[in-house]
Amino acid sequence: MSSSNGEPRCLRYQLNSNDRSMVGLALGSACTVSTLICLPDAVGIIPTVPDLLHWTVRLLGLWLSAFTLWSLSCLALLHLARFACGGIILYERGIKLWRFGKLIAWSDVSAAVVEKQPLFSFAFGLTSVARRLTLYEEKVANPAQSLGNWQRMMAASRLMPQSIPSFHFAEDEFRSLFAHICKMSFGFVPHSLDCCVFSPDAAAVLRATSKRASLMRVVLSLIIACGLVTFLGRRAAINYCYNAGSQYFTKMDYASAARQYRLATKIDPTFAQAWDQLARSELRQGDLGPAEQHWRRALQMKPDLVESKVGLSCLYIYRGDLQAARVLLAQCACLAPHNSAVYLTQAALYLKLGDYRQVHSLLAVVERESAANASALVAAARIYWQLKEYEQSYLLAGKALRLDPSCSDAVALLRLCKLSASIKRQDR
Amino acid sequence: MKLSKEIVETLLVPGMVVFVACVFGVVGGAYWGVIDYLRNFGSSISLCPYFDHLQVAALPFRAHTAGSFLGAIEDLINCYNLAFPGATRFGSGLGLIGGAFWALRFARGRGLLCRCFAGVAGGVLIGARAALMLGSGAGVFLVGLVSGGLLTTLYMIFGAREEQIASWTLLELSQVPAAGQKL
Repeated sequence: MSSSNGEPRCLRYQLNSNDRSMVGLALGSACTVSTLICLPDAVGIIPTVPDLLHWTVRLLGLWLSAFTLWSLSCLALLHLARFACGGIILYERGIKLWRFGKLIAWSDVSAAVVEKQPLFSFAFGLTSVARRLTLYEEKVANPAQSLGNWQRMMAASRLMPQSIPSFHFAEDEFRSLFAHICKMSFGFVPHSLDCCVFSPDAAAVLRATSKRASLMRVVLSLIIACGLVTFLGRRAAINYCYNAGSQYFTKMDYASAARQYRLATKIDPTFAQAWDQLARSELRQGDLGPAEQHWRRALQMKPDLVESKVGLSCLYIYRGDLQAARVLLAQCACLAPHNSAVYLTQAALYLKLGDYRQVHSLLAVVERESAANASALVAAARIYWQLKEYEQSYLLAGKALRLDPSCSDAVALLRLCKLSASIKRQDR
Repeated sequence: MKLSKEIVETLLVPGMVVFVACVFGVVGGAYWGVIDYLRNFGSSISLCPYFDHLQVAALPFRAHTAGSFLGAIEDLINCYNLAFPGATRFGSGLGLIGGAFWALRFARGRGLLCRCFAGVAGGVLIGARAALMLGSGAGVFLVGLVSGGLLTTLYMIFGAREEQIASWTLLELSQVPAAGQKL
């Protein structure tokens, strides 16, 4: 390392990860990862889409969101790693692979192997074929240690592989690095980048170490592949069952919905939302016992699931355990201060307790905050009807019907209000 | 002459960091809005239950009295929430943070004062917006704002100096012998 006039210019050089290479890796890996992530969703959204166009557009949206998130987070992690690790530092005596790494003396490098990684490059969409430079560092036994003959022989013959991937650096920089390592450790620069440079006496050990390393890589790849297939397949099945259940639930086919949700909970017993929806379907079928049990299960899995707490408090109100319902609803109000379902259930609770002032103030909040939510307005209208305030109930049901013309509950409530109002007039 | 150039740089670079971050924030918000539209194309219900909590309440939430310091911060957060409703809020956050990080590159290798001001400007934006991803309280926002500003300024002062160690790119490739050449 000397300048053109032969004088030493700098004692050490640092090879940092290249910005453009990091962007390339982040974008390339984002393509693959977002496609893999979208596979379960591609199956999962099938029950929710009417045709191929909807499926394609939604899948495109999901893919784009996964792509953006992955590429940004990958880039952020790479920058963080570069900041923390520093670059490869080359000294006159040896090489440090990262800021806090041990210095590997040039004389300890027994072999330098560069291997092409076409599969990796293809999978991560890299523009040029990635390479892995493996430095085999000779581990010399400590003479102070009292080792047996065979132990000393084993220790003396151990080569420690240290990998340097090329995709962190610009191609010229990587080529230059390899040339420099060969020059300093072996005294020559090879013709080609794809080669294996080693001292003759290290050949046998290098062969064994290399075989062991490739076997480990194959095993690791198999484990990752199996894990991916299992994870993605499972996720796809769960999403499919959950969405199919939601479709049945919307069509008020609660028995079929419960079957799908049950299947989803069998595949993933920690899926709190599926337990919650299962309980909801069971409640609609009149199975109060299992519904309570499944809401409790959902809360075991996710203690802050407001929907389950609201459902359970509804059940308690129905059974007359008003104190338990009040406690649960107070927790819900803290967890979700803007949730209209919480206000409505609290209104139903105060209606049971006969505190009409509270009921009115809660319904006023629902009217104000959920003015665009048809189902919340219908629920509020139903409570007004129970209070025998038919005019207000009629008004809200009409508003809900304007928001959602297909709302059958609102139509039924409008008819009921008209009927009740006329009966009231007749009574007078 | 040199002094005036430094002063202009010190004012211009932090301003540019804020401007670029804001532009990225608006673009990110619009981009995520489009993605959300595509993701929920023709549907009123969420595709997956995990996305439900991305939506934020449209109505301003007030925990501190209006006119107080924390109340003013809350007003600022509410303005931001109303400007970027629903999914656009998340996208604008991504854009703002990413843009601020990217724009900090302009300050690398410049004078200490310039780096310091740029670090404060960028760090405050990054810390405050990252805090809003954790919670929408004024206290969390304030802590994020101060710690983000402090950390980024420290990094810009000590970490973004001219390279202490010569970069490999400075090493002339001609110093390495040509391929196949024996020493």
